Amino acid sequence: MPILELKHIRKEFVSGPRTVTALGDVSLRIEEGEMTAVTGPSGAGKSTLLQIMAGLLKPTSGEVKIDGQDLGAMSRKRSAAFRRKNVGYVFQRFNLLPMLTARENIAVPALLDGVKPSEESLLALAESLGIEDRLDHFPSELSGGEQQRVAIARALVNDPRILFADEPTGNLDSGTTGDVMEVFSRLNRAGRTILIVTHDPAVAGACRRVLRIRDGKIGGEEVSS
Amino acid sequence: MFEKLMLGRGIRYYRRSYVNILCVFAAAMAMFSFMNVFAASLLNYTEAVELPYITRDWTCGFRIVNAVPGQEELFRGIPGVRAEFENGSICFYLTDPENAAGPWEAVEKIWYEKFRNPYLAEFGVDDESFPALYSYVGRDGRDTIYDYDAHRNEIQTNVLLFQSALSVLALPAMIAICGEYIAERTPDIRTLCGIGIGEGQLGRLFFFEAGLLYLVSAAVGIPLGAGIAALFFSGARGIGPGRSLAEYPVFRMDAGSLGLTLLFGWLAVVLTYAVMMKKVLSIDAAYTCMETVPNRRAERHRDLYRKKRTSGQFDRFFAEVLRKRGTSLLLARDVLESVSLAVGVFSLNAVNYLLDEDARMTGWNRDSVMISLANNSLFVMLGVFAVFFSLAAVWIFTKRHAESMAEAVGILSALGAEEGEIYACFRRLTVRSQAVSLAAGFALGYAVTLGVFEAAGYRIPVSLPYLLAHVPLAGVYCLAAWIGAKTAYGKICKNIEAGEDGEPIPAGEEE
Ligand SMILES: Nc1ncnc2c1ncn2[C@@H]1O[C@H](COP(=O)(O)OP(=O)(O)O)[C@@H](O)[C@H]1O
Ligand SMILES: [Mg+2]
Repeated sequence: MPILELKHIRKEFVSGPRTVTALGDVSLRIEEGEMTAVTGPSGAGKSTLLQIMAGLLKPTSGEVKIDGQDLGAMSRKRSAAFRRKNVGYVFQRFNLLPMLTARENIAVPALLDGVKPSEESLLALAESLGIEDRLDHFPSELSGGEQQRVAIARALVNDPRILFADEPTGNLDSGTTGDVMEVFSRLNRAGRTILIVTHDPAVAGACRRVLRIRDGKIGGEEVSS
Repeated sequence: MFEKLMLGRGIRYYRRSYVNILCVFAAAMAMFSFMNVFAASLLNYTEAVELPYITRDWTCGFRIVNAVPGQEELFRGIPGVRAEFENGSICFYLTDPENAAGPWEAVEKIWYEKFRNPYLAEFGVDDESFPALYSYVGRDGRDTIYDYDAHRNEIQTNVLLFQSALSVLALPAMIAICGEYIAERTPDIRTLCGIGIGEGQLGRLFFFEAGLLYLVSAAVGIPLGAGIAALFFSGARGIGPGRSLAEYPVFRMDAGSLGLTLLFGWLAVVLTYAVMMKKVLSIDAAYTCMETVPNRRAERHRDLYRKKRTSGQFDRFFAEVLRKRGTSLLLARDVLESVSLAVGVFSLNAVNYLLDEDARMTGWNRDSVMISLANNSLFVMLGVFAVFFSLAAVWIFTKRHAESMAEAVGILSALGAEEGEIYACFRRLTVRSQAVSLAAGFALGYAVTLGVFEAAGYRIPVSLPYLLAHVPLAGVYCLAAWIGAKTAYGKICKNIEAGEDGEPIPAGEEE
């Protein structure tokens, strides 16, 4: 059974008199342990697709299944709890809570589950991302790369089965990009399923499977060995 | 754990917004507390005016005015004096007018024991200079005789009515300021939704916040409102020749007034919270945006703008363009302005109607107007609160309206419009909406006034003072609009971020 399955997903945005079709009939399957890149020109619908896959956005029609469970059939409350457990999401613009320190930001998903993550596990996570000496800083005191790594740590704190990342390296220089990709590869080797939206051929090159999106449709797919 | 963290940090991080919210909330609490304490004190005052007092009298030897039938029995058996109950007074007839000192002492002794001292004890007054005029004995009796219960109900009903009417003005201000705050926090909320916060958790977070705001605003607002009410009752107030209420402890803040204040405040906070939550829950986790929508019509729009600009119809045309966006905010502001103006017109006539006949503004008898205004200080205070809340709400809506224009202004400026030209558009827009809402407000106010007071035989007085009273009424809103235009719109015009070339012009402004 694939860990993620999309069937005939359509997404339309209605704004005033106009309807924008962001995704038109997308179907795909992701197997457990895959590391997949989604690429395509700006406005193609990559972010929309990723957010639908992660359950952040409801499709206009179609079905999303994570681990065999239909996201669309869940109540808002259940889907929130489900996502907290199974899905980690790294936002394009980091989206750290500005009033919390890095440590607290990382802990939020666990706190939402009523669990206070242990100091050791937080430190181990931070060390694996190289931000262990930045934990008591506020987002405004961190560089873009550091903020991104805090965001990744936050996505990982509940040990989710799938990690989604929307242009995680879009705001980083090539050196930091390499570091972040190294983290993703390591996580993937440890068995985690990862989906990355990216513009960067170097990032896509690090992924085994690459999906190309164009005008809201899957325009091609490459699988390297 | 999570709530505590978010609240503790959020308050520090968003302290400026919290201060704004607290100002409006505390003002609402002050208003509720003022109303209730004022009512409680007013009851005391009304009773004080009709409390018994002892006085020398030329018809009989002396008399206790405002007594209760039966109280004359207390004075039976004093040698040299005959006590009779006549016209609400106990009259003391001296059997030997030449020898008044003995009987007077005996009567005064009983007056002290049965009338004055119990009153002092009741109100905890120990000042020896307290005028030997008032008594507390027989209040229950008087309550029935003078129909105090009915009176009490009337005052309390009125206060409750006014409170509800004013809440109508306070609520938009509270809701608007919270809307501001939610707009500011939307990115955070969105992030939390993305991380997977549940609806209940989100609700609890804001509920704690509402509770905290309620407590702090009550702690600040209730003493404030009660203090203002105390001011009204602290001055000496003549209630007849030679008598004063200076030492009468009229001011009263009892459990009832406190309870009603807390209740009204809580209702207002809960209502605000409900509206806020509706907004919060409608925020979803997804970050989608219009920014990359390809717009093929952009060039055509651009041509249109350029043509209008060169043909000199700039501000007329663009005021129209600007009006089309942010319509709901402008509408909210106009409706609010109309309603509060209507309340103002109604209150003006209500005061005028309730003033003593000769103090109505039909004539211009300054002294009696001042006295009547003092006696109707509740209305004066109501006016002050009403103006405060309407202005706060009008200001917030103006600011939000201006902010919602930022993008359009950016586009206009990218097309070459200058600061002055864009400001002229706003001025045009403001003047027009101002004229419409003032006219609507006056029309509504007079419709309600006529509907309510016509039946009571009140005629709208056409006199200069009365007409002049409309000037500050309308002027306050014009001033608010002017300041709003100068600051909010002015700021947007100054901070124009010229849109990049090639940025699409959002749809909706074609002719
Ligand atoms: N809220 C929205 N309203 C209208 N159109 C939207 C909205 N969000 C996204 N879109 C449109 O959907 C399309 C896909 O957007 P997106 O998924 O963000 O693209 P990408 O991430 O590939 O750049 C774009 O044309 C975009 O303008
Ligand atoms: Mg995107």
